Amino acid sequence: MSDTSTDLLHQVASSEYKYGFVTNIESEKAQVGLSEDTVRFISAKKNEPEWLLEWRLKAYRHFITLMESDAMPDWAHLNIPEIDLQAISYYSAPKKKPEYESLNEVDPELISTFKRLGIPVQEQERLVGIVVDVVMDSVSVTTTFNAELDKNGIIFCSFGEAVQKHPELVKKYLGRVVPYTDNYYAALNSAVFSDGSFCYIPKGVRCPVELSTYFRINESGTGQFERTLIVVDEGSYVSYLEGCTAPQRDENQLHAAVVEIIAMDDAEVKYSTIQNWYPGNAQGVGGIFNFVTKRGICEGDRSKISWTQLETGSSITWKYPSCILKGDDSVGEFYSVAFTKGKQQADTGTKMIHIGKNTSSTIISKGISAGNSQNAYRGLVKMTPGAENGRNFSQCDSMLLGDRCGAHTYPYLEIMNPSAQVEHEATTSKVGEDQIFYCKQRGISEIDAIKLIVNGFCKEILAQLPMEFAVEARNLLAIELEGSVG
Amino acid sequence: MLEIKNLHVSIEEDGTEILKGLNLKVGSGEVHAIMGPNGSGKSTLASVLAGKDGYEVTNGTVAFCGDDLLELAADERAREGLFLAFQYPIELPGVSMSNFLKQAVQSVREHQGKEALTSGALLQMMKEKAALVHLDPALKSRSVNEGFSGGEKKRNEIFQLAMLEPKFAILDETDSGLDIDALRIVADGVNHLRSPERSFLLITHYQRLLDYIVPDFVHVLMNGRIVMTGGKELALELEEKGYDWIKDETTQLA
Amino acid sequence: MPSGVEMSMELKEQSRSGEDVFIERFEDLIGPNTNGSESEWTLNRRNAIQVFAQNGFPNKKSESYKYTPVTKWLQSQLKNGMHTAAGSSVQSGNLKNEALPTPLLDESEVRGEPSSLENMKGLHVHATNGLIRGSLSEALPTGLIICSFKQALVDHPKLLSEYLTKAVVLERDPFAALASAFAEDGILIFVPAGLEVEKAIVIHHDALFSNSLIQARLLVVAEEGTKVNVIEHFPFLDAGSSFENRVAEVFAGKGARVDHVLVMERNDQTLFVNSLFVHQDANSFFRTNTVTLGGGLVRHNLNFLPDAEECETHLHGLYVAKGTAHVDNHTLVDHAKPNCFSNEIFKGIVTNQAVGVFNGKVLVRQDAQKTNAYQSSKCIVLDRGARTYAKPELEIYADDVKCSHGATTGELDEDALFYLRARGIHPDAAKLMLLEAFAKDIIGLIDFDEVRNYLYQRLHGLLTVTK
Repeated sequence: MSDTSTDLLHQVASSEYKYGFVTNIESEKAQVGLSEDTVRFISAKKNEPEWLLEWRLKAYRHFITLMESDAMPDWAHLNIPEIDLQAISYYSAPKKKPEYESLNEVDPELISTFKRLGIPVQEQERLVGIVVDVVMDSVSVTTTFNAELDKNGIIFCSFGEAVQKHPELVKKYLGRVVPYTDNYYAALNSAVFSDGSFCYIPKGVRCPVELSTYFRINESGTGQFERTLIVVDEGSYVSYLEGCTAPQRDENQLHAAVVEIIAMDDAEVKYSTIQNWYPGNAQGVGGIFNFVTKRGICEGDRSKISWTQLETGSSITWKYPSCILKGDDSVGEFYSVAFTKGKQQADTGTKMIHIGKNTSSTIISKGISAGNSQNAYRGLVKMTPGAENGRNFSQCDSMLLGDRCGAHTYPYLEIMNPSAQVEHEATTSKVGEDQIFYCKQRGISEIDAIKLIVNGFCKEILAQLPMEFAVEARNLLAIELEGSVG
Repeated sequence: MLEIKNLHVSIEEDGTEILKGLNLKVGSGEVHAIMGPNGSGKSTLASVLAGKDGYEVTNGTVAFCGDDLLELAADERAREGLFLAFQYPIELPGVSMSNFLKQAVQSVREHQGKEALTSGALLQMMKEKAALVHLDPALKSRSVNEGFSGGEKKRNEIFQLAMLEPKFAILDETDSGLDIDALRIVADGVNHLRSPERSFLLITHYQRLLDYIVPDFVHVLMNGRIVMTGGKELALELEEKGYDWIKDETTQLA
Repeated sequence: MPSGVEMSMELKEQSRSGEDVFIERFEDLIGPNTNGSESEWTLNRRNAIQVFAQNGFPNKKSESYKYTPVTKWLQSQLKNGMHTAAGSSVQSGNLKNEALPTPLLDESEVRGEPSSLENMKGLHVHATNGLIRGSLSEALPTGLIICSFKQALVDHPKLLSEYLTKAVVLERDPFAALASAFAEDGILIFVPAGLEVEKAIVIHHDALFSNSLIQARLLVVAEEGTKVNVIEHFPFLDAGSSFENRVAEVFAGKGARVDHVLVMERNDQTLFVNSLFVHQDANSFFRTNTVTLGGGLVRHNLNFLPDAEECETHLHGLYVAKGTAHVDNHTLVDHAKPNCFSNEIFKGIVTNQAVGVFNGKVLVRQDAQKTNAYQSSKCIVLDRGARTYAKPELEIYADDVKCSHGATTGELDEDALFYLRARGIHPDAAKLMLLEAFAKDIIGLIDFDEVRNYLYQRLHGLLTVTK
């Protein structure tokens, strides 16, 4: 590639973050540091039942053993600086108690935050067919109301509310897919999670609107530890969207979330994420450490869980949205675009655990690395001995924009059933000079050509996103690419 | 030679019924053509007769030279003298034509109680039969169907037919994708192999093939059943009027 | 990727007890460094044992041994009274440490039957425990050296000090470090600049001390503009549960062409770790064909460093894992310089209760622009109970590259089987044909008729029994 285009790519890789504002909302924070008292404090704040406090404490104790044995996972292709867990505040909530009768009562600062984020929380904007739960720092601040959900018996509310109003459901499913013993960050989350979203779709209901959660870290010196639990009963369907942003700060902030999905017989869940946490500046200062455990179980026969993600933010991403294909004929999908620039590091991928008969999974991952970033795909496909006729196809493509970044592919294929068929393909390349030349010859500028080509590279993934989200995703990708050029 | 009675066949996976009570009788030395629109069940019939997995015979019988054909495994059927020329011949990378044919010919001969051919005799036979369909004799060192053109693959099927000398040969859309010259070569090969002891079942969508291989009987397969049977003129009539004409006829009958 | 549950288990079981045995043994063997005037090689050996002491045997947290429990095997063999003799030096096999398992068996030499490879045109070398036994079959071309390290130390000391230990990366693998420390001798092949060795050099590793730990070395130096073929045969030997841990270093000089074939057919109680380190200079060509047809637990560590421009590297491998065998091919192609090409193809057939592992890494460093690197792993699983693990990795730090990998695992192709059966071929024969065709892709890449035919024959036997 010519020098000018290399320069261009370097510029592309250092574009600015546009969600970096701070909202001036008074908040109430927990004492800095992690201890049993912190856990009790959070639980008390949330007015939680005894069993939940017990569960948190068990998780906390387990986490302490992990911490003492230095069990922070180190297998990822990530250079993670020491994180001082005692320097973090584990609970931060806007001071005004967020129980609003109508949006008019909401702190105007909050409303303007939503506006700047482009989140449709105003009455007139609810018509677009999205119901939103907004989690700021640790607490769900508003859930827009939708009569249609109510009519269908769909529960969609903050996690805290669910604990109060539907304790039997929460108790039944919490930790079912991601037990607190699962891994280091899941243990931490289980101990100190403060809020999140809860969703239950009853039998035979096709959720008529997109459900959406927007996560926002606002306070400095805090970590965000939310939990999402989605239960979709027999024959039901839901499409769930998740977006994340954070202010621009010089410090690193820890985000360790857990998402659990349970799909019963013939249920289908589509979970889409646009992850745009603050990535830090071009020198790698600041940014979110995004250590997330997302997992769904296809509990029932013919159930389906589909993950789609566009990962552009965070200083460090450690995330593997996974499917446990337990029901016969169940289906798992993972579609991902991960774009890294500056000094971002991403180690992301999926796990497809085939247990039931005739289960199938598809993995399509596109990694784009720019600047000095490191971008790794890591994925496990496991065919257990009972996974008769299991099928998997994986395609992992990487594109390098610039000569100082890295693109890596680490698939793990574990096959214990002879009738299973597993296929993995991966390629790594750069934007073709001939492609750019061809575009230029047709009068397209170099940056537009790159945008065009990268967009084409990601097309099949972005096409998986729901309409409104796909537009947002495409814009986000374009902004990321455009950077300071022009 | 072959007698199919009230054959009902479903796809194993989803239970869709494809053949719905098919009857067909093919005598020694006869050439039958089965025509029909797409999706009428022509290729299913070929696959079921050859013993391919994935189909379930829910009713009916198929007698082949007096034996129950459906009881036999695919390779047993082949050794009994049933041959299928595939619509889409399979590529076998790394399996040389000569080794493949040696195994096949010797298996069939052994079953028939004949002596194994010497390598020399086999080679000689390959040379002769390959000439029949104008196949390059150098193909024997190539992998089965790998890198063969579409026409070569089809000619290779007829070449194998010639090598295995079956009693009953099914040609599943052997004419599809062939240009006129290749079609003539294939047809000449088949005509050469016609004999009073050998019957043919030609499965085709178009009448064109039947200009070159003249059938004794023409059957029209629609919706899983043979809805009309006639002589070679029927093919011409179909060519002229299309399948819709039969649809009308049969609905009237019904 | 370890799940959290597995990970926490790993932590509990970090046992490193096996290491001390070897470290103490080494000290007994070499003794203290009394006056500081030791040979370079001895210093290197001391360094190697230090590296080993630091890293220890692979434990459950070792990513590169994730699917291959070598340490467990080794420990059980030690418990069962395996000799830990180093190289051929029997006298050093007497253990001083009381805590060590006492050797139960006499170290008797077991020799294999001559294989048909004996008859191929070539320069034949026979080895016991990895060391040259007897004299060479015929006179060598002028300048070609094939001798023991000990001999080389006397006749060509400069050669050893220039090359020995220079390709092996001790930190990368504890077994490589261990063999580097313990091997008291080895085989040197030196091809002086410009010499094209017409006949293949065939090393028959056809004798072992039974139930022994054998740590051996091989050093191949092919200077500028040379051409050489090295064929290594590890035939079946009824030598009990031996552990062969060997390190081979290969230097391909400018424009050199080095072709290597390794055929491994040891018995099913054998633990076999083969570490190959290849260093390539500009415009050189290196090819290895690693064929594993036997062994109990087999681990090949194949490391390639094309360390200059315009290198060509080919890695071909085939394995058939039967019974309870565990075969692991672990490769690293470290592209450090621009304009190089590497191509990797591994194929495996896994049957019964056996396990097949492939872990291939292509590393393209920042300077290695215009690298073309391809990798493919294909595995056929024949039986319920057989398992396969594949981890094909790409780690790319340069942008102007073309790299790809593919990995597939599955049964034999149903359509192909049907086609064969539709031609009257018996199911078992059809399976065998397809399996042989599958393997042919790899064996067919070997230059020597005699080796190819030998392998086809062995494979036919092996797969016929297997079905």
